Amino acid sequence: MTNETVHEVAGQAHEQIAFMSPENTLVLLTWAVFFGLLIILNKFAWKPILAGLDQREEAIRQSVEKAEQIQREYEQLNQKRQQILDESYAQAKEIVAEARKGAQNAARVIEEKTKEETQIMIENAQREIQATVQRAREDLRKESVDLAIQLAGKLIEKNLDEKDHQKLVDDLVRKI
Amino acid sequence: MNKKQLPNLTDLSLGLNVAAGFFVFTLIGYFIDQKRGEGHLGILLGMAIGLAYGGYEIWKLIRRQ
Amino acid sequence: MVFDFQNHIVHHMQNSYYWQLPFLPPVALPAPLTLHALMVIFAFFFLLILFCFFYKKNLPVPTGITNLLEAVVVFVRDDIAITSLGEKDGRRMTPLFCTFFFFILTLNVLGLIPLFATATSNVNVTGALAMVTFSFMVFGAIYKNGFKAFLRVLVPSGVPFPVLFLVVPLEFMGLFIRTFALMIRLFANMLGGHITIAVLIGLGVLFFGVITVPVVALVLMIYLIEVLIAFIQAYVFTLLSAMIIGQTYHPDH
Repeated sequence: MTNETVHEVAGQAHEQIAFMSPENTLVLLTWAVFFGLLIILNKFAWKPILAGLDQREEAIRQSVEKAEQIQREYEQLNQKRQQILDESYAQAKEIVAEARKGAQNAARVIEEKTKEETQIMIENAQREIQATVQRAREDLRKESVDLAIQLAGKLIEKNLDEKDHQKLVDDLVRKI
Repeated sequence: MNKKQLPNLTDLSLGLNVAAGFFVFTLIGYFIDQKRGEGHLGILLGMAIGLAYGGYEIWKLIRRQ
Repeated sequence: MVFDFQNHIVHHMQNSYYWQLPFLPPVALPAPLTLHALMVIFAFFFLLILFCFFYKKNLPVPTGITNLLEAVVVFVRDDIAITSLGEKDGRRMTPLFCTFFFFILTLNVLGLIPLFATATSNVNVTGALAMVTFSFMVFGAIYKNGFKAFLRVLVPSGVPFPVLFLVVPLEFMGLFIRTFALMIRLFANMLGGHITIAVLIGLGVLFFGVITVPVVALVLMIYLIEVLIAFIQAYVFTLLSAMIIGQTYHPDH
């Protein structure tokens, strides 16, 4: 199969190359163009493009990682804040409870003390009343005895002197 | 696109590989015939080897599954 | 009007030493240069201008063409290179696959523009690219793993010893056949699309009448499918060459 020339019937002669015949110049030209493109484009196109793509992927990956890290830190801080809030709330509740208990205790103590004092005052008052009553009885007895003796003296028409008066009073009081 | 769902192009090109192999072996047989100048043994041998190659390729495909 | 159907198709498909522009006499190209070679050189300059002048470097947020090119490069790096070759080798071989992808895509799409031709519909161009893949596959693996380890790739596991005498030559031929299939795939897809369009247009001209309008509509649809196939074939070529290079770089037993 070599290069054949095909002549057209009506007019011009066109030099055609037969179908599927090997043309060495075309093969060599294709090789030359392909390797030329490979070398030139490698230097001017593929290397910069691929390097730029790698750089961009790296930058995106780093920024995504940083965003995730920030998210994680935020979560941690949030948790810590929540923890502190919970603790302080619990502490506040404790303080209030203690205060209430203390107040209750104080109230109870005051109540008891008041009760005791009242009790003491009552007892004192009772004792005073009793003493007063006793004294009043004594006075009453003495008066009645005096009256009785005076009456008796008047009856007897005797004037007792003071010592006999007194001895008689004491005897009568003893008897009564 | 899910990579697992892409058609396996080596499996798809089995047909063309078998046909091309048959054709190439037959061509080789034809040229051997031209050289000897007489007889048709070359072409027949080429066809036989081409069929064997086709069968070998199909056997490799079946074995992989 | 005599319409030479065969030559009409031939003019659209084959490589020639002339470049035919409409309403102008055909431009005679200088001696070893053919139409498809001219397309390859166009693609060379187009890619250089695209990547060296239209691409703005070091933008913090890329927009426009820069964004598009970066998206495609990321796609080639992640889905093609790293999937087939692993993390370290994938990053190292990404420039090769990017060049493959953009070069083949440019050649395919150039063929769809009305005045230009498809260089990848020529076996020589696709064969050259497949040979590049082959040399990376074989010599790259020998350079990376050593010659013995490369020979170990040819011996599949789980095969009893006597059968190996049949299997190893078949495996060895398999290296060449996979590369050959790579070449044939790109060549046939590009050529077939253009032949279909040329034949249908030719039929529309040959049987000029009512049938021309639906034919033209059909051709427009096939043209749109051609655009899709241009992208798909560039992707498939790059992905399959990455896979077969990966099979020899990291043989998985």
